[in-house]
Amino acid sequence: MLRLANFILTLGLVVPLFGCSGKTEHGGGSATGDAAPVQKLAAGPANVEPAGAEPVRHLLMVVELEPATHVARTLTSRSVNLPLPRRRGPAQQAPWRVDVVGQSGAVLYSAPLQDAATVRGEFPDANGQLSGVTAQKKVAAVTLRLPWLDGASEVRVVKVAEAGDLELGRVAYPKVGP
Amino acid sequence: MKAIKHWVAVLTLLALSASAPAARAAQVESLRESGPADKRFNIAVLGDGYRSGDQAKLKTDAQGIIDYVFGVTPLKQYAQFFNVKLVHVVSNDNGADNGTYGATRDTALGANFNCDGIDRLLCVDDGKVATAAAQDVPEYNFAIVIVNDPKYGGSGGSVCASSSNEQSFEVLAHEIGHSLARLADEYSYEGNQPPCNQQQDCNEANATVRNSRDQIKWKDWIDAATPVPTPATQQYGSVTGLFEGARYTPTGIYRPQLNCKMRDLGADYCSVCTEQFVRSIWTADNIQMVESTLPAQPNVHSDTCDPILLSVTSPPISPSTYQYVWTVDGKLQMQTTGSLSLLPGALMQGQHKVDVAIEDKTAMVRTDANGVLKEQFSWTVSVSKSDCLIQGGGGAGGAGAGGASGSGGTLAGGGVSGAAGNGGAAGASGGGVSGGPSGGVGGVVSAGGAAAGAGTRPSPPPHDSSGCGCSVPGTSSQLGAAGLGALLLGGVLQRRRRPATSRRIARRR
Repeated sequence: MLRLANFILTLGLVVPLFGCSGKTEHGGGSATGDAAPVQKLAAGPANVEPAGAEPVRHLLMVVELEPATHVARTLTSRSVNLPLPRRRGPAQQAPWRVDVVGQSGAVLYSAPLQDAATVRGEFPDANGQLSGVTAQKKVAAVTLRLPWLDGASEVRVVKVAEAGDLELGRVAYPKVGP
Repeated sequence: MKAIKHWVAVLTLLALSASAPAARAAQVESLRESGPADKRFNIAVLGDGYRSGDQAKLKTDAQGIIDYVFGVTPLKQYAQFFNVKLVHVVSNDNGADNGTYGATRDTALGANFNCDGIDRLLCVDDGKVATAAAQDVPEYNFAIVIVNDPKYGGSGGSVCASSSNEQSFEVLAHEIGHSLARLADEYSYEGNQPPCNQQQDCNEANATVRNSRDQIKWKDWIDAATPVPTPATQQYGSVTGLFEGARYTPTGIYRPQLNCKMRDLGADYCSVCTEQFVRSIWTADNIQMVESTLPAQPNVHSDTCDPILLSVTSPPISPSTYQYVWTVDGKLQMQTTGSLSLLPGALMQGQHKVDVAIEDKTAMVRTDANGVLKEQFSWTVSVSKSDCLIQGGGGAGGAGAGGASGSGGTLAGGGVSGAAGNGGAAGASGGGVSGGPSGGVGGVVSAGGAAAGAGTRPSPPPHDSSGCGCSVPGTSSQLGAAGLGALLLGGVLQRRRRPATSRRIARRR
């Protein structure tokens, strides 16, 4: 009985931590979501191979950066019940990059990132013709979608440059996994 | 001891939980729901400067801006690639700092005009925006903030912000051209983007430093009669050419058209920007050309005589510009939709390779160097039964009274039958043929879309490759006369091999 009570209490704590409340996941769907346009097979063959076990969770982090001072802080992190977003086509080129670094310093995962510090303003004249301005934000925020990785210790955001990458900031990789 | 360990773990989790930000969840509603979140590009729209009593206005403003953006080509045609959710963030004050209602406003996402000293530049606190989106629309790929202030203004970047002024909607459509399609600005005023590399050319699809026709990245769009460079005159006001002045520079960098949304608000995206937009949609987060297949796995085993239905599902384009090409053991099939039905009896015992090549044949794209508008999927179909009768071909024809050339059926041998039966189009050739023999008795050809008889025919012996159960090679699916000829050929082939038992059945009927 005590074990059962412990189990229920544990569930009650863990589930909100992973953001699995109905509210935040509402309509978000999942890899096994019920909104998928699945066609029914009227009569047919059995698949001889079981469906592959695709990872259906990833880590979502929002990290705030001060590029000038290299200060970074995690604003929020959570697990999302969806696979990491995939992209078709050739590898994307981007001015920034995120690295997940292991305890040994090895890079376990990398992904391109758009420059989050530049903000653009574009305004038309009386004829509708545009002119533009750009400004650099002192504090930028990046949304990171990362795999849950064993042995990951830090998340690093860098500015990609031919002369060598410039680190913009780093934060701890969340300890709590899915 | 175990219990202590357990409680230590629980308390650790509790401590971690307490350290997580305690942002308040907001009400979320769907403005556009096109498919599952892991197969669509997900946009989160958040309101700032909307008090609790302004939430109905937020809904109206957000719907207006989304309808506007998805009314623009090519987003209009590819609208079903996107989900849009509205997050009802509640602010204490309306407006934005330095806006219509005063210099200091207490808003949830920190919207402020006069950002970086520029009056109309409307910035938000990106961290607050991303945190709210992450909490309430955790699948989001892109965030738009609408600010409840009638003052004209906005900004683009990792977050697009727009005031509720309707003129700002057009700026937002322009900003989305940057954010989603990585398009360059085509105007030639201020701006401090790094110059284009003279050796490698500009990165963006709609700007080039090249001025010789064969080196222009959009040369497929330039008519031979159009001069290059192209004079900026009204004579060439609607053609694609090479117009000088783009990317903040009046000379030395060229753009594809005289007017374009990346240069002038109110204009459409030019052909080249539209093309790039379509390619970008196909490489956006989560977008897959083969979203699902049936069966899901590439290896299919059939140990019954039931038809084997193979199908692929792709995100809808409106109107559809998909082309499906099916092959069975390398032989082209007539079926042009996303599904194909195979008859094990006609396929024969053994392994068969079925491929479907999918392509978005939109006229908006002429150059697809990376092949992002194409995809292929293959199944290996193993048939273990050798004594299946071929059944039920007639269903394939269906509909299309008076149709010219129904593409539903397939040719010869009835091994493959159109699953859905596209039916015939209007009877251009009079009478026409709809549907295929598809295993009907002796290759019965049904005229005018009437259902063909459901005959039976035993499988050909395993080594009789001529019997096949594959289609007659050829692409006559949509050609009236050729299709008819091929269908008749199928009938001839079938009749030639019809065994005695089958003849008896046919005679009785």
